Amino acid sequence: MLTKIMKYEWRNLTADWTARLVIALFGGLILFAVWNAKSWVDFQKQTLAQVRQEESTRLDSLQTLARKEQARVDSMVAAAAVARNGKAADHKTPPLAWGVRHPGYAGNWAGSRYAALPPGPLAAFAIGQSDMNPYYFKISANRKELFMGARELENPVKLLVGQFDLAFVIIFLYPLLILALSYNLVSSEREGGTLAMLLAQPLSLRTLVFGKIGLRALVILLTGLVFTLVAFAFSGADFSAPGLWLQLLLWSVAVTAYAALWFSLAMLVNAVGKSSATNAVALAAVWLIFVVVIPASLNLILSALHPVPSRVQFVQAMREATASAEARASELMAKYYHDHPELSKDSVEEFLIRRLAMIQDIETAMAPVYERFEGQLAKQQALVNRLQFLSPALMLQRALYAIAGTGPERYQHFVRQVECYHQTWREYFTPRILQNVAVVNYTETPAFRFEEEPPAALAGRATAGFVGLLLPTFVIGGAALRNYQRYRVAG
Amino acid sequence: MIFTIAKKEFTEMLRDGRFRWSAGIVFVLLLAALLAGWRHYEDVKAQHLQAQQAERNLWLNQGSKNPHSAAHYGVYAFKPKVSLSAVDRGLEPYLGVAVWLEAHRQNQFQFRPAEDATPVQRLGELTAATTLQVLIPLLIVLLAFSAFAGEREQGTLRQLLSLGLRSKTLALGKALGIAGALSVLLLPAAIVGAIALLLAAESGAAAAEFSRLAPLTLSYLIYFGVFVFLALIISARVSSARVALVALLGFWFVNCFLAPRVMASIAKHAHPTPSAFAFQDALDRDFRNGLDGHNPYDQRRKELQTRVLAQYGVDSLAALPVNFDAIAMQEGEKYGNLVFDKHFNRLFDTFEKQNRVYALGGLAAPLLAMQSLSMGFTGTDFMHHRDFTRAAEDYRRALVELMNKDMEVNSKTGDWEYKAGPALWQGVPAFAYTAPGVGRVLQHHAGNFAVLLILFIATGAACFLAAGRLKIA
Repeated sequence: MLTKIMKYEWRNLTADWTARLVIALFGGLILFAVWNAKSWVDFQKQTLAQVRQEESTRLDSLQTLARKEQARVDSMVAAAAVARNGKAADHKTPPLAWGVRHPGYAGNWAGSRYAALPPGPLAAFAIGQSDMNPYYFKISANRKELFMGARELENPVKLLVGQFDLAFVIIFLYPLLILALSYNLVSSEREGGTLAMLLAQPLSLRTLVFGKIGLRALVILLTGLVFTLVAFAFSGADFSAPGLWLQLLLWSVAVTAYAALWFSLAMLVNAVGKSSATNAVALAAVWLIFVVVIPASLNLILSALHPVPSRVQFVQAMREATASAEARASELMAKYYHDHPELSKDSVEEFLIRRLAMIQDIETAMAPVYERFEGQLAKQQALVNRLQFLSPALMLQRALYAIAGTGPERYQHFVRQVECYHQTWREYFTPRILQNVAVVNYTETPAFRFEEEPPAALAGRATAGFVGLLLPTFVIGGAALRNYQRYRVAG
Repeated sequence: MIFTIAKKEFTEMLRDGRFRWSAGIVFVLLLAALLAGWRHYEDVKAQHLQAQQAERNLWLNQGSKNPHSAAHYGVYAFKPKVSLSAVDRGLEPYLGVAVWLEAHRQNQFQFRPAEDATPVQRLGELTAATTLQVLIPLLIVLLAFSAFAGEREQGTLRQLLSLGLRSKTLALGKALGIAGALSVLLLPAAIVGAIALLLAAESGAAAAEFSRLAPLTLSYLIYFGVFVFLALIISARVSSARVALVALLGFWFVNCFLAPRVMASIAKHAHPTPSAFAFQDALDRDFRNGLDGHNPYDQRRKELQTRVLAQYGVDSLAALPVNFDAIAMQEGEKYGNLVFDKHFNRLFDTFEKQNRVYALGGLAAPLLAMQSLSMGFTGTDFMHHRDFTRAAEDYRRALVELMNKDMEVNSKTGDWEYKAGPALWQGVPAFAYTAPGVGRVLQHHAGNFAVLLILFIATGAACFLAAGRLKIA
């Protein structure tokens, strides 16, 4: 019986030109969305390639220069030894000349390397926060705020209105498509007078509803999936990328769970037994509240409950720390000498020590300021993680951004690695500065490699969304089914 | 007659529970958004004032140091807020709040508030402006979709017209009725907003704020008018109220959600934004090779040296009565300013070209024009940002020049031990900025205003035509 209903529904649906038009339009929007986001991903990849190119040519030419300089110095030392007739050299090694072999010159300026966050395999599905978060940093031994403030250029209007990507199409448009095709599931049959006739057959109302919903779900989900895969394949995706299939699976599950929730809502509203027009208005209101009003209001609530301290105050703290370090420079230097007995005092330029001492002091002063910011943001995010269950749009956004790797978690994962790398970089150069050791092999300085999060972390994050979407689906669906038992077929 | 119809429509709407509920919700959201916007404005204003003061103190009390060190230490400029930004935050979350003004470099603005927010912000923010731009048109759609279609379905349209009532009068009456119902919601909100504005504006600035508020209000009224006319047209032309509702909801969705993103994407594809890497690379290249590509740095410095030596009639730098390093640095600044102007202007022009393409979409989706106008009048659009950027950059250049000049006159070439004191720091005036007046906003957004006005006139005319050829059955 179920298959028979689905067959007739299929005929109905395909005979209706508006339904065909709506579905074709939806497919077209998916193609445009993936193409649009893909062009951003390509832009990022292209920029990263340029960045890597710049780094390798710069380091190669510096290395050549440094080797030449080393050979020159070596030959001078050898010549001096010959001149001294093999007598032991003076104990004092002279400070390294400021220039290509100098560890301070290499580590703070010339020898900088990039730390890059490559777009994940599904990045073309959700631009997410990737248009605001930087995707590479030029690391130096300096304070992190001096290189972590660099941002990609973007028109603020584009950031404000948001990106046209698959995540947008699914979060905003998918429910409308579902509601447009199923707001009058049962009510239209009743209004057309066909419901009583249908139920005079050996057919239960539940089976009828299941058949109608089932076919629509099949059509809508398959349309979405097929167009998505087609767009993905034509955008030149690499199907052998690690983690791709898991991410595609998680993506499909998330989208299906979201669709299921909206279908169950349509079922419930139809079960109340009002007219088609009333159903349409009611479902549109639900959409408006879940997709527009709750997320927008949540922003107000977040900034009221956990306001992030102002960046203006951050700048002030930084300025005061810098001014105070400058004022106490000689005192800080004395302390630094004391803390670093390994320092070869005679052969290291004073300004370098002054610099190191000041950096240390400013960083100590700034640490609590950073902590305050990160703490408030973490609180906001924790609140979002709890309040996301208020709206399916919030749950889906979080899940989709996480799966595509364009949400806050993967970026924070990147930033943590960059901070570790910054430490490694300093640990490589500072001892060389303190002990006056030349840097010759520029290509052998520590390099950055982004480690992806383990798939389990990703799956865990997405699962919260799945549960949040599926649980209400069952509750709402159950309520709808109960209501259909008491459905008044006529009158 | 018109007023009888308007009054009937008005009374009917006020008695309608659905209208009361939805208008109530919209009103609460509007007030909450205004309140939040106002609080945010007050907070940020206080912070900026205090920070600018603290920044000035740091500058004045930096002790004695070499003027060039002082120029490197520089100052931070913080963007002040226009009090109307409580109504529309506009681009603010996506623009940096502060810029470091230092020697040698024009820096980009730093610290975009949206970076300190969760991704939820990207789904849209609740401000008075978004409520007015998105939710009020929806309310208009709900009020007006059945205006003619509903009467036709109930059979009352035929009755009405058989009384000798002209259908154009009917249309006008209905439009007025809808406007009346809306004003029940909007007037109190407008009064609350105006009082808040009066309280928020600093003494003396209130006049300037109201000169922006008036055209802002007018633009919104025109925008709402377009929706009223459009709803009446559809209601008059389509077969049933249900179809009218679906068509109008479809247009509303395209206008509010689809068109902005699609047009912003198209604008970027039409005028691509360079990457920060390419931008920096082009800047560096001009610094290295000269603006024409044939005038490298060493050569520029050598020419300058010959010129300065000739000017003072001496044959070595040591014999100069002034500090040649300072002269060379100032010359470098002048050159750098040309390079920065070239590249930053090109970048900002690209953004403005993109914004013009975006605004073209206003002809099909009035939100795009309304959004730009609203941001313009509330001082949160790109034009205002660019103006502030220019002012801050001019201040930076004047400051650095003053430092270089002092060093040039008061020290000799190679003397980096020379130190200046508080007298020099005080010679730099505090950074002061006033936002452009409403005249410039009008000039900049004339196109957007014209788009809105054209739509208003066109939909108004079409509404009368449609009313004239009303389908009765």
